[in-house]
Amino acid sequence: MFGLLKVGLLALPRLCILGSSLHITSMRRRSKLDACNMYDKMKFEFTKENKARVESLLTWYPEAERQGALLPLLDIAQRQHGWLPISAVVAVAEVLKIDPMQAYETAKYYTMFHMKPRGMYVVSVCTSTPCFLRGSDDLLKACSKMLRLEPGETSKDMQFSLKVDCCLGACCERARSYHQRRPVRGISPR
Amino acid sequence: MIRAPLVKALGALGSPTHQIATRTAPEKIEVFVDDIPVQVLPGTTVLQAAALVGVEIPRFCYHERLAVAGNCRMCLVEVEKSPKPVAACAMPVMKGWRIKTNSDLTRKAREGVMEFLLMNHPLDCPICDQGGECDLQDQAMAFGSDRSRFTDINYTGKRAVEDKDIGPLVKTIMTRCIHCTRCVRFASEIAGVDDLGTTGRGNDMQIGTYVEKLFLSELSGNVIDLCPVGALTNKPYSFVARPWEIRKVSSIDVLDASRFACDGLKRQRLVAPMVRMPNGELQAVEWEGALIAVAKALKKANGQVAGVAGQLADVEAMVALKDLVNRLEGETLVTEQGFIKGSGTDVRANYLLNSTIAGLEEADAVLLVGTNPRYEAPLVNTRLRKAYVHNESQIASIGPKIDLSYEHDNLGSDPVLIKDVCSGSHAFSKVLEGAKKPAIIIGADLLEREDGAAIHATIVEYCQKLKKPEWNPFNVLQNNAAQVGAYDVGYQPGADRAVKAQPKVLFLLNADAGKVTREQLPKDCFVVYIGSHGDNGASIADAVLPGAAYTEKQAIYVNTEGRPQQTLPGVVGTPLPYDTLDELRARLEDISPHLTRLGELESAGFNDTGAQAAISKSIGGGAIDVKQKELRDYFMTDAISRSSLTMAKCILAVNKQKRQDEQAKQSVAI
Repeated sequence: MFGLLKVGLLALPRLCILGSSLHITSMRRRSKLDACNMYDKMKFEFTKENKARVESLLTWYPEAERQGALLPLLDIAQRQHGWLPISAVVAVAEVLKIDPMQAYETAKYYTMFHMKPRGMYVVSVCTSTPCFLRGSDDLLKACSKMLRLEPGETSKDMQFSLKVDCCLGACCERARSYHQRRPVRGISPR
Repeated sequence: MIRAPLVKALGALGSPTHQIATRTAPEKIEVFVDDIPVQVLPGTTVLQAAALVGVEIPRFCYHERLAVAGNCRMCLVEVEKSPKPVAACAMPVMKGWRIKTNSDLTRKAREGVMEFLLMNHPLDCPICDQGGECDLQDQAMAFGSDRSRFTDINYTGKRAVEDKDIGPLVKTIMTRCIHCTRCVRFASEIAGVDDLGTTGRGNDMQIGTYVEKLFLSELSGNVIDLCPVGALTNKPYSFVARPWEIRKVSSIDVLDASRFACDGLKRQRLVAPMVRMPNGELQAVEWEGALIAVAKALKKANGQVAGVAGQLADVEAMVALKDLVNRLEGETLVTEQGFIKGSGTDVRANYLLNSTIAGLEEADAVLLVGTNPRYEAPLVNTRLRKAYVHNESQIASIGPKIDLSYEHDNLGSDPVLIKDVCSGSHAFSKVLEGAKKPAIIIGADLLEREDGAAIHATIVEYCQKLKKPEWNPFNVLQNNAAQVGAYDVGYQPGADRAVKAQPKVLFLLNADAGKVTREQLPKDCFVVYIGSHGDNGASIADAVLPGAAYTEKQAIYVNTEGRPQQTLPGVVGTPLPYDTLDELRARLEDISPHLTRLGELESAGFNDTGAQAAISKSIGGGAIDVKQKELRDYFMTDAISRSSLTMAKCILAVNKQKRQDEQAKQSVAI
């Protein structure tokens, strides 16, 4: 039984397992409510360097097509903050002069934007069809058991997050894992 | 959810309702729908071509007045030589295409889509308010498979989604949602509020808002009608009746305040005639007694009779009152709402929305003076928004800073600005003068001011300069249903005239705005209130004669552009004497012949306006203001909505939302 494992490196070293998995709805807790609390607690403002980065990035886009910079800007915000609080999404929307809802839709759509605080290592398990056929559900169960986390949860010590993903771009490979962006092969539930 | 501007999303031509500029017609192409040849313009979609030959393709997400989304896939049809079925709503036809709307492949595709939709749709039709008028129900019957393969092998239950709280008008049952995104598109395209959106992806996709908040729009109620399933239903009306139990009455209301204020029609109603007793209390009496009391007072009055018509008075009632007062040799007949001083209402063009509501869509430069069309006339505002989106119309306003749901320049609220613009010295004058179809819209409330006549005259004069053939840029936005009709049948504006006349008998016809008070009238004045609700008018009356509300009678109203519209009785047993209605209408025709040509628009001549209104031109006075600045000012504007529980809830909800927003802002600031 094989799956895919990936460790992605963003601002911090973190680990993503891409596997194949049984479909588990990770929305058990309403992100909306979480988001509401975050909005109360989290304050976000671009740092000076990032502001400069944003400015130079925006020069790439013609005035009318500024919202094209939405994804890179959300990425900058996430790299700065470690994850993407709703205040950051609103800040990005303000820069681009679009409605916050539009930025929020985008941030929610892409699984690489983390709308909740995440651990040092993010274990993400792919559950799309090819991975499912490769036994992703067993892999997810194994990860869940080992980390003692439900999909979508983060451990209390902020070390590990487990999340379900949709295709991490390795459908053709057999079992594989990434550590600090390098693939680590041979991941199985064992 | 993609929010491309409509023009972009639709390609060069788009649906016919979206076409604003008339283009030279390109050559038509021939396609075949179920082997029936049909000539269509290039750019027509498969769905529209099929509609031309009378074939209706099932659809959920497609709506002819919204941008094409193409996400429900219900409209899949087979096209010969195409490898797979095409989405009819989004696919423009090509020359010689043979579209098969009822082939095996088409049917199979529909059944497949329907199966997926039903797999994630709860089977709660028996308790669903949409049941009976549900697109999903109808199309599942017509196009769905006759058996289901859905078995819950793991007993995990169907997909379930938490309900959202988006306000006191719209009830959400999000599990029923099929993600057609009609509501999202309506909110962002028509209402101009990007509050709704889709979050998450795949099975986790939801329609919602980004933080829990109200769907703050004056048009929010329309999403109920747009929703093809029972996900968005009418909250005040939930579980009241089934669609097949009610009668359909074609109506003209599409605004939240009038649609949901209907519960106000039941409360605070006047049900029996009342006469004020010597101890000062109103006491219910028989009709006979009340009428005798009124007749006695009229006899004593000796011609010192006056009438005041309120904002909900219909044309027929106003004519009847006018005739009565005139026969008693009274002259003073006024409306509660004022207008410019002098003889401004003699010429129709002086008080109409001359560019017409639909015409405003084509305007390319608009100046709003002392008006907030978003809440005073949301339909006019949606047209202006359309002009802004499609025509890149430049819009500026003089008045307080308000949110109009589209971008506009606020020039300031100093009345001197009107002079600046009209003398051509202001920067915006250049825009107006350079425009093909400029329009200036004045709020009716503004003209009530002391300098109203001067403002009116200045703008009329400037509009003479701006006018184009077939286009009158001068507009007055009336905000009362009765207003234009009243001027048309010869009422004078301003309740103060009635006070000045110091009448012995004063008729208040639905006059509930509280502009006439007991103190202003002579002590022996006998006040007769005729109307439907116990509001300001009835409280000062000596005799109260209950009447029907606008939904209960067949009556004519004239809208702000001067188009007579008829309301139809929605309740049986109206107290209006129907056998004399025709006679009344005939009399009406004598006074103003255009009033009985329902639905037709009579344009008012323009040439004589200028000379008429030029009285004084000193514009002074305080800053220009509008009454309805925010959403909460919008819900209670007349006697009926003031007694509506639903409207009260709306105001509560809007205030609560506002408090939450402020708290959130503060906590972010900390």
